[in-house]
Amino acid sequence: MFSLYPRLDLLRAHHLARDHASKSVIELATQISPSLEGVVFAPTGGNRIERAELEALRNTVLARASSAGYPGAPSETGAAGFDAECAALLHTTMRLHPSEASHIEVWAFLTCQLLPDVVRWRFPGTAEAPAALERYVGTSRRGLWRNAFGRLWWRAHRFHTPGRPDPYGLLALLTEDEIVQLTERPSLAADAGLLVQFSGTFLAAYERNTAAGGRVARRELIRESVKRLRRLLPMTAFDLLDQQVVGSISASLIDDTLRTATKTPVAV
Amino acid sequence: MPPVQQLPYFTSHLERVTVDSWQLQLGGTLEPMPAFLPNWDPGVTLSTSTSITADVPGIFEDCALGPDARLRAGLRWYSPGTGLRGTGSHVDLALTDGTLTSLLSAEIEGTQLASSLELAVCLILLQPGLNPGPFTARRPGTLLYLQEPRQRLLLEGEGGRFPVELIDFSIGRTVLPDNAGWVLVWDPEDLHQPVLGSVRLYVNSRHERVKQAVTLGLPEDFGISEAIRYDLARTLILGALQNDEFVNRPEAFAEDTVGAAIHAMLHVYFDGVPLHDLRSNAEQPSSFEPKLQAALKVFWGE
Repeated sequence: MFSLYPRLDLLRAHHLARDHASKSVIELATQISPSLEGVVFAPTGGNRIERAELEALRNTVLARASSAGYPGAPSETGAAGFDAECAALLHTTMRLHPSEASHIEVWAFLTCQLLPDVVRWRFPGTAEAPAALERYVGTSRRGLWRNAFGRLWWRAHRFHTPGRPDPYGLLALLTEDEIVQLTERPSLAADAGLLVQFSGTFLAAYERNTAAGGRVARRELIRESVKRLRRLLPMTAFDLLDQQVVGSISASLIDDTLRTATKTPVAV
Repeated sequence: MPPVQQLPYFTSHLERVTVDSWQLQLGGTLEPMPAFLPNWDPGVTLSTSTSITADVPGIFEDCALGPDARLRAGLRWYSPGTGLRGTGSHVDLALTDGTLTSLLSAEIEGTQLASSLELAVCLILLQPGLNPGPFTARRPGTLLYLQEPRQRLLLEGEGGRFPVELIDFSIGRTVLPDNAGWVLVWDPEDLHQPVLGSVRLYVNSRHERVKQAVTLGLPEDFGISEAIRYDLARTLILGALQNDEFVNRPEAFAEDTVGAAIHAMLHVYFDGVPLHDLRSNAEQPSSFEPKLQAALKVFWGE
């Protein structure tokens, strides 16, 4: 059975986010009060989450954050590890369906009321530019993709491969830049089958190339390969093809990128 | 990435494929698909179907395909609210099929959808055959025909067109007066955001007159409804006209974005007027606002 989460209206979320962005992690942690006053729930689509379940979710996420250094500043690898683990955690424990997860107000409740200290910790910003408001509310150009937890849930949903020994394995294998390249393009992110096939093929091709002494940078390979794939998307219906064929086309695109990159003189 | 203007291969003429009206299973019976579902529930699976007739030899001729090529006709769906895409049933086609009629259907879980559902029939290349010509599609999956316009089903009723939410302005906020009636929340600096994901009209649930006008739309509330309608249009139009990207490249905003919605609104209310001229005009409220009132026919009740 799916769960319905409290929805925090954006007006209140913006107000809280502005306040949170100027406070320290510790200050926020001592002020947590996940009040359900004034929030609304979707009328249908699941069972309302209980307050005790929300507290359990907070404690679980906090435990993950603590193992990555919370409340101290996260290292780059610590933050990446937290993202991968937290994405899988949210996707497996929240019992959300995509329809409910598409409402930004659901994520605004998590970031602004339930876990604001974790958002501040994960996106500390700098003294001049503190944590961006979009990490709390996520209404910037890329909308939901910027919300600290909404982006993680959707990543886990798109890269989830049921039936494999580690169904969220791709999240740990792909770098932040690669995930951004693959998921922040709506036309590509819409097709989960293509996304998983292309990602798996990319990782295997890079590994093979490196083992064979290839010098193509991983960052260059994903960026150029995604560009080639995006050129095909408006004129190709990958979702009507068998997965084996999708894998074959993905491999062909990535091989073409490798061949082209190999011919380009390496700057010294 | 700009939309593809001209495909680099031969495609089928649109008349080679006929798509019948779309059907939706409602209450156990198949009915013509409505424009929107006011009582949509994400817990319900949508069953939809349509019948297609394809002139297969004609398609092979248009696309310059060899007799050993294979095609696939299928049903695709997309939900802008969740950003998820999927497929329904498909049928594979060979030259020997002649004129073929087939039923295409899909069972779509409501949990995968939000705001709206788009459906389309498409025809793709499955196998190019042994000797494709110079301008013949070669890669499996290449689109040879795509139904346009797509069939669109609005979910969540009229509210899905413009998100309206009732909230109590007095709870947990210091930014709004308790007795205000409504407020529009949006970001005029980023018009690439989806309308449904980023624009909200919040109505104060403590304000009984405004609440009634928005929720019931009774004749006696006409004045309040019109005042809100004018305020929304004015806010969105004036905000967008301050946005340089919008004024210089209004066509750059994708379907369902705030920019596209406001551009469409201006097309209706100020058809043919260049956006730069509108911007200049808007800098003089005493001149622009009466024009906007006239264009919107505010309080005329038409």
